[in-house]
Amino acid sequence: MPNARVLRDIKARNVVKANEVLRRAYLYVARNETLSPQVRHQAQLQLNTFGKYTRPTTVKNRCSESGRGRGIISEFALCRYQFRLKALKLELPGVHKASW
Amino acid sequence: MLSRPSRITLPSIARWARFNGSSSRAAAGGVTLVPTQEPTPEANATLTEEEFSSMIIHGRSVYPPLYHPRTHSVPVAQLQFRAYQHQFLDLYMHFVGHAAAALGIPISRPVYLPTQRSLWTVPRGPFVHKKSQENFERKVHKRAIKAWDADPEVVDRWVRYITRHAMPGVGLRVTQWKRAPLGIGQQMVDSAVGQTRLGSGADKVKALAEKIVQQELLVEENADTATR
Repeated sequence: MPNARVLRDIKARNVVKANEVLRRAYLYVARNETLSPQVRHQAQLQLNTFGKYTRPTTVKNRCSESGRGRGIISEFALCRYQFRLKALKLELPGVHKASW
Repeated sequence: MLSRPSRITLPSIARWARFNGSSSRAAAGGVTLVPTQEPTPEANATLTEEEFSSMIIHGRSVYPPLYHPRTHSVPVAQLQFRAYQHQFLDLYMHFVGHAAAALGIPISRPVYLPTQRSLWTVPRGPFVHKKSQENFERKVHKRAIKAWDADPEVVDRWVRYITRHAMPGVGLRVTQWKRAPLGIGQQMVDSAVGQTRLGSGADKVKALAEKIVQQELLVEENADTATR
């Protein structure tokens, strides 16, 4: 059973994906300088009513093993300690201890 | 045939036997590089299976492949190979070179592209203790081979042969250049005009935005009429 925060992140990703087109449309209207200010303002108010999970800023990379939010290496979706454990066991392709 | 060919002459014999085949020998007018065998046009026509197979030097893979000379220098394909270990790559290059030699495709020597090195420095412990860290790296070795002048079908066969006997751990990317008939540009434009691109969100966004603008204008009008 993954972390509560991991579940929240999964929910955020799904909701953001579902609402992306709608959000972008409202943003386009709100930022379009050729339209009247009333219409732009209306669009901005509508945008504010969207929930927090629709915002792409709520999406955060998390470690797929431990659920840690910090020290994530995006290429492997692992936090630094899990990355080290797997790398030492040679479970990551091509990764080895560096010496030069 | 020499009873026991010496080490020094073996590569030259091998090259002659492999690549001065019956057709080209007839064309060259019977040029002999090795004194023992004197090919004649009549003999070439009636070459039996036994005679031909006896001329092949088995174990030619021990030697580097023959690089055919380019006839017109028209680039036909570029193969890029990537691997985490260079030993597998070099072995595969050797194989690819021999395959091209057998098919008569003029290729370049393997070009050594710069190695990509990714370094990760990571604390050893799960928590704090930043002063003790460990370095991990990953090197991507790259090679490129360019092919010229061959027929696209021959190049396809070469690539298919190579991928069927692919080396584990080596990735391949093939860029092929083919000749297209006149008017190909117009054809592509005509075929694309009728179709909509899948997944391009920009049009969807604009369409939605138009609808939203209409809705907002309606809302405004209603508000205006209500206040009056």
